[in-house]
Amino acid sequence: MEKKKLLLAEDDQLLASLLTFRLQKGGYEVQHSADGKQVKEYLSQNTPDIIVSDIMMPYFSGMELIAYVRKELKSQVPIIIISSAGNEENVLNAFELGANDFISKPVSPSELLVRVARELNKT
Amino acid sequence: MQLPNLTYGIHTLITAPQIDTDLLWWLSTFFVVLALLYFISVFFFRNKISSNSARIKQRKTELAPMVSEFLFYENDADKTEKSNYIGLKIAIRDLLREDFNRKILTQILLDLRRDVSGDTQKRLFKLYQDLGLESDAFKKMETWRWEVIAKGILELTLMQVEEAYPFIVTFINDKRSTIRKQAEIATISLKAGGICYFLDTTNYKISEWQQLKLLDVLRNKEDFEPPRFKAWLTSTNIHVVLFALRLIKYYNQNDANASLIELVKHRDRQVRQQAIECIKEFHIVQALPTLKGVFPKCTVDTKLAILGAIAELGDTSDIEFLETVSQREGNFSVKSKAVGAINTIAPESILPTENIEHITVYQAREGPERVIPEELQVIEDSEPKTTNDQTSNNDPLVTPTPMANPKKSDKPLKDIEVEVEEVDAASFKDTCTPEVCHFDISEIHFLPIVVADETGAISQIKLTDDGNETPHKDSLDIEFRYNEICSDPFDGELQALITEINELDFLPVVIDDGMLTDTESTDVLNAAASESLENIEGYSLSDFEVSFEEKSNAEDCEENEKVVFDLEDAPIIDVKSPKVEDVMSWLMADNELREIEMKHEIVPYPSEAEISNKLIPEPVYYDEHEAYMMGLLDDLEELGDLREIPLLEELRAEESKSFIKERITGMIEKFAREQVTKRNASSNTDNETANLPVFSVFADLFKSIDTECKLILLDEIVPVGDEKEIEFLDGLLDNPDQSIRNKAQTVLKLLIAKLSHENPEAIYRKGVYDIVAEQGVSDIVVEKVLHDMNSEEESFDHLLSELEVSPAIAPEIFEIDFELCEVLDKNYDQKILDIQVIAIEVSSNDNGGPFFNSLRKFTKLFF
Repeated sequence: MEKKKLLLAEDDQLLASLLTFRLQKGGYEVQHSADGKQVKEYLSQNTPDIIVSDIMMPYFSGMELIAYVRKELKSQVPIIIISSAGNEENVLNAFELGANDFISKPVSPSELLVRVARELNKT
Repeated sequence: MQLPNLTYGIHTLITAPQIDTDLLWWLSTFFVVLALLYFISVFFFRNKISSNSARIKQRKTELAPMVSEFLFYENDADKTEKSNYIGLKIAIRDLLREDFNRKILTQILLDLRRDVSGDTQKRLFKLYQDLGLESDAFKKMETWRWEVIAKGILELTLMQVEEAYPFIVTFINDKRSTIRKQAEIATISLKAGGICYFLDTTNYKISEWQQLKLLDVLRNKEDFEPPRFKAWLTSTNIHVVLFALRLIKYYNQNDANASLIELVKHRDRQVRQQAIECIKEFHIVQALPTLKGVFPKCTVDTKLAILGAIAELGDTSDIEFLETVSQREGNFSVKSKAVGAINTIAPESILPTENIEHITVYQAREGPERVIPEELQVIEDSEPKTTNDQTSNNDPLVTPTPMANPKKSDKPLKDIEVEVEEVDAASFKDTCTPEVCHFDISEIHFLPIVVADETGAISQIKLTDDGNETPHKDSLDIEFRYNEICSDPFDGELQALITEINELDFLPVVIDDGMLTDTESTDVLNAAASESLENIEGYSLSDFEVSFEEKSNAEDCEENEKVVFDLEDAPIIDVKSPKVEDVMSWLMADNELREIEMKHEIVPYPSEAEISNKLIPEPVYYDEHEAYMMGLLDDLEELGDLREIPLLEELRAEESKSFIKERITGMIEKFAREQVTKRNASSNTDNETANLPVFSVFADLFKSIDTECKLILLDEIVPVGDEKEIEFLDGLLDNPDQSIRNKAQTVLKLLIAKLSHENPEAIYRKGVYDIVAEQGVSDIVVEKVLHDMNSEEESFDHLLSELEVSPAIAPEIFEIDFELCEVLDKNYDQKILDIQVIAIEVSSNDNGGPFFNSLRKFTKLFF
């Protein structure tokens, strides 16, 4: 069975590593991008099944990523947003732009795995 | 003056000193080298830091997957995973031998601890301890550097190493604030009971920020069961009390009401305010008296908090306090808060007053487009509303002519006469509609118009038929006449009205059996009466004299016959037994007005013009002399007394104006009356003085002295006392002290003996013989004294007559009484005291008293 492609956009290397490890262990093919440029570059060449992105990233924020995916790529790929707690305004904006789900930090890798699976099952 | 010679030439100034070029080269070289060293060092350290960072990053990248492997390792993994896990464990143990790797691994775990939650976080804590990284933190706590200790405590706290708790709590009272604060957080965070230990042991101030951090730790602590924080309200550390109050409020622990009320009186402002916040939060109404009590001594902030609490907890009984605060408080914020609190308790009880224009409230009236003031509407509402159709149609009894402007009239409006016409409703019963016959208590609100003259007696009440008027000297220029219609007897509401009518027991309303209610529309009378009353604003109806006009039946209404009640001399109309169901009859019965005598008198009904003319009181003007005299008389009346009577008589003799003479006469009579009154009062006072009970000065002195002084005082009674002291001495015979009792008995005997000699009548009048008899003092003593005295005088006279010698003409020395004196200020045997003796005393009589008294006192002083 072909693994689902997952794009993880997270600038924190440790967390990214941890999440990557957990998601890979969960059966996903994880592509990690540390900043917005890499994300854009990857998306221009690949089409992931799901995107897990932090809001705060260098060069290209999570909000811009959503807008880019929805408006420029006109893709309906599921997008899960990871953000610090209390950043409510960004979360609401993310949902308005087309984000599918939201997870606040600190992140529970197990929870993320479940949410990713749910979003993929919807599609 | 000679100018000083210049010492230096110009050339010496412009001559540059010689500089050693070698030195310059050395200096240049030195600074170049220094710059090079600086740049080299910057380059070196920058590269070192960056390489170190890259190394750390590299190592983190290497170790992070290992950490992830450890974190997400499952026991049910396959063999490959297990073998990888074991190999990874061996590898990581090798890595941990280096401090750098330990440091990196610790950093990884600490960073991940912030980013992950749930089960992963717990595994992270476990991994931290499994790898033995907490030993590094313990080592940090043993150093002397405060920042390292704080880091160690923080590390152990973040990784939830509960074993570190006993070590960390030792830093709670550390003098270094950073360590102390970190230890406080760790104590609360590591154990559930840490908050109790911290509150019990901390001696230092807990800053607001620290309190917030501690509260945040408690709030995020899983499965935390908050203790009852009221236990720390008694702490000696104010900051602990304050923190406990905040925790009580946060956790809604409303079981410390008494303590909270007590803390309102706390000296610390913050504690007071926090206690008030808790009281407000928990709605502790019992705290209101305390809040009011401490209010005056509080600062503005606390006052505002108290007022806020009162607004939340108080009721209408607290409005008085709030009003007092709003009136007396100088601070604007407090005043505003008090007013706001009043309005919170009783909404809109205080309306805006600032910058409000005063506008008379007008109320539109029905019918013609006319606007009348609200005050006048009230008067109209109080008028009777029943009237007779016939009378209103033909000749309305209430004259609709408006009253002349009262400002133009000096005549008092109490001279207005009001006539009320009572109509027997029986004859109109059939035509009476329920609405018209309904009896409303408001319809008889006009009844206080019955006036009494100055002496208090009802002067006159006229019962008239319409069209007639009885002129009276004191009567009034204005007559209001009401056709009072008896309502349908005893409708359903009558019983309820009886209580209200009871209050009108002064009413001289007279009615007989035949009085019945008319079905006359009330509107006509109301309109007419209101128009008449419009111009008497500012006067109460009690200023009007009333005449009741009675109509016995419908036929009588047509007659212009007036029935007058003359009550001046209290001849009261004899009314037949009233029907029980008749309200007015009941009123009469209740007011004992059955004896009213009715005088029927034809009173001509005045025309509108006459009434309107009479409405205008005639002005009274004084000329210069009259004004002077009236002013003088005013002053004399106010300040004068009996002594002014001659002057007044003189003025009266010279005065030609009759009204001034009358006033002077009145004043003379008044002053004379006052004099008589004063005399009577003074005579009464004298009688009262004479009847006052006998008072002994010794009795008063006796209350506040010891036994020895009492005995001395008793000795003094004999020479200076009189019959007033007998009762006092008699009372002392029951004294519990034996010595006083004996002394009193002795003194009483001597005093009686003395008084018997001086004034036997006084002794008899005072009933002393009875006392003496009761106390065993024989009458023989007194009688013997009297007998001896008489016998001595007789024998002396007899001797003079035998010798035919006449005594010298009033030789002063021979009139001195020589008597033996017993000194009582010595202690005698009781037997001696009990011996009946003839009273012996140096008498201070008119002739020789002063001299021998002085002599006796001198000897007393000497001994």
